[in-house]
Amino acid sequence: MSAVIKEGLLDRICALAKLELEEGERQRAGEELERIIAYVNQIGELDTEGTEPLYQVTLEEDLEGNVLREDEVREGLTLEEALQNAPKREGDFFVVPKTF
Amino acid sequence: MILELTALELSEKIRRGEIGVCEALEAVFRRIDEREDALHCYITLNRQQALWEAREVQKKVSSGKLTGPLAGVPIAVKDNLCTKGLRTTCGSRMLESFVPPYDATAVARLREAGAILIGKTNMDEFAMGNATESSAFGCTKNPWDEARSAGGSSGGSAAAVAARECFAALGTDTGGSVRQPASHCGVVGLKPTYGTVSRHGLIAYCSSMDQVGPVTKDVRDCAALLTCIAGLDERDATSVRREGVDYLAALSKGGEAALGLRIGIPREYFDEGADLEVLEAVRKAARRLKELGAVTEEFSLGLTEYVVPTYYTIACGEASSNLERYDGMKYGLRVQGEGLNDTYLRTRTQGFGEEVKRRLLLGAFVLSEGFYDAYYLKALKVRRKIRETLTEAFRSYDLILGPVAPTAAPLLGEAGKDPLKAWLADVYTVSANLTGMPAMSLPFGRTAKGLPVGVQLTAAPFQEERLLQAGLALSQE
Repeated sequence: MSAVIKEGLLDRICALAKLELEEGERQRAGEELERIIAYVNQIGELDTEGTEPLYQVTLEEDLEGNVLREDEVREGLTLEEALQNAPKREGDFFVVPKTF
Repeated sequence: MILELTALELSEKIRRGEIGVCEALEAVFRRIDEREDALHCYITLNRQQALWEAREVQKKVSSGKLTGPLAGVPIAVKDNLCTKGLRTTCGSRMLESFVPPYDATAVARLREAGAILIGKTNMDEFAMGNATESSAFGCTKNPWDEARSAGGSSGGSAAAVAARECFAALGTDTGGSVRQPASHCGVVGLKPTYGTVSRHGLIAYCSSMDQVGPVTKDVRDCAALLTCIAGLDERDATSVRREGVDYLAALSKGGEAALGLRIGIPREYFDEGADLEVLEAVRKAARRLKELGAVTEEFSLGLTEYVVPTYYTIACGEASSNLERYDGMKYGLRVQGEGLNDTYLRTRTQGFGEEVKRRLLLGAFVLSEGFYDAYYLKALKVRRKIRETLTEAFRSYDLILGPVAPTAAPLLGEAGKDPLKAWLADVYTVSANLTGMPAMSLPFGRTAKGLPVGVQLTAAPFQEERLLQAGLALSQE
């Protein structure tokens, strides 16, 4: 049995990602994830002491910064457009399962 | 033969009244009827609406209201770009019946220019894959050899252009998804600098790397499409203002543009297990550029072994966050369970395919408590180092030349055999996404089996003009 399954890690990650694995898939998924994690582990070898993370690539001077506009009413989606893809609706509302 | 014309040649003939917009459209649909069963480039066709639009555009062209270089040109759009009133699936069961109430900005700009939207092209599910085999609607076959993959994730767009099932197409590129299928199908593909094209209406995969890009028959068409879709958009805060850029006008220099260009070729690219025929194409392109007056040189780029693990760590992390929106509540698939959490679980478990789940699991892992620093944050630091090496290289060189993919189009089914091995094939393309830099895939010869092979040119941020100029020089015999 792969370590990610044994240590309960696979279950934890599935719960975070809101995905279920069937019993038959678990073994394969666990082994695969373990192999992938072992592979991406190599980035740990590189010395990044003093290097800041790069979250986004656009340079400050190329960005518009805070752009303000007049607070005027503009056309947006109509109620009907916003609801047109609802899996379940009642009148002008989305219907969702009981949340508590 | 109408279908052999480039987009620019077609629009000129339409303007002169030599070809009608409906005539061009009908020619494309006839080709689609002949080839589509075998190739499967499209998920959804827009036949009726396209004919109506063609008539409207014809009126505007005839009356001189529409004079641009894309007026009347039948164009295909990848199925992760929202199209108002036209189903947009992202290659997934999750969005199988999703009909967007608005157009993506790139699509809206094409429509304003008078391009005729003929359909939505097949793609890997949520753009995750490089063979268009993870699509929930079946794979796309390579027009040059139907036993082979069209590449991915914009495989439908590249195959449609190559098979003349459209005159040009939009793809999207997060890790090579425009460039690699373009290379496998023998067409031109460009990933613009991050921020050049608005991402508004592009269904998110990895927001810090996603870019929309043209897939075209030649470099001039590529410039025309880019000119149309590029530009600041108030609906995408990462889009960038660049005044008065006309990529098409930048091509007026012709072949002389290569004169004096300094071209660097990373030495590492020859040691990373690429096929000899692919490397020969790179060497041939280097020799050609030299003949045209460029200075070419091999150099050591550095950190190339880290680009793929860094890319997948960041892309999967962002994807796991972005795809949380598919909860079955407001749009998309809902599989009713017992209560809220069970509905989430069933919806996502049934709605997503294998490759998407694989990446969501890795993404949840790299972002999770206890692992965030060692994986996600670490990858972001390595990303900065990778950008430093490329920025350093662009102090000495105007362009970097290399392969697009390690092989020509692989046989169908290869990508599914070993998912990690499939990821490794992205080694030449992901750097441009990690760093935001523009890169272009250009057809450059054939293998002994007759399959197209592309070469890749990369430039510093916002140097698309130079990229296109060199690409044009290289593509002229």
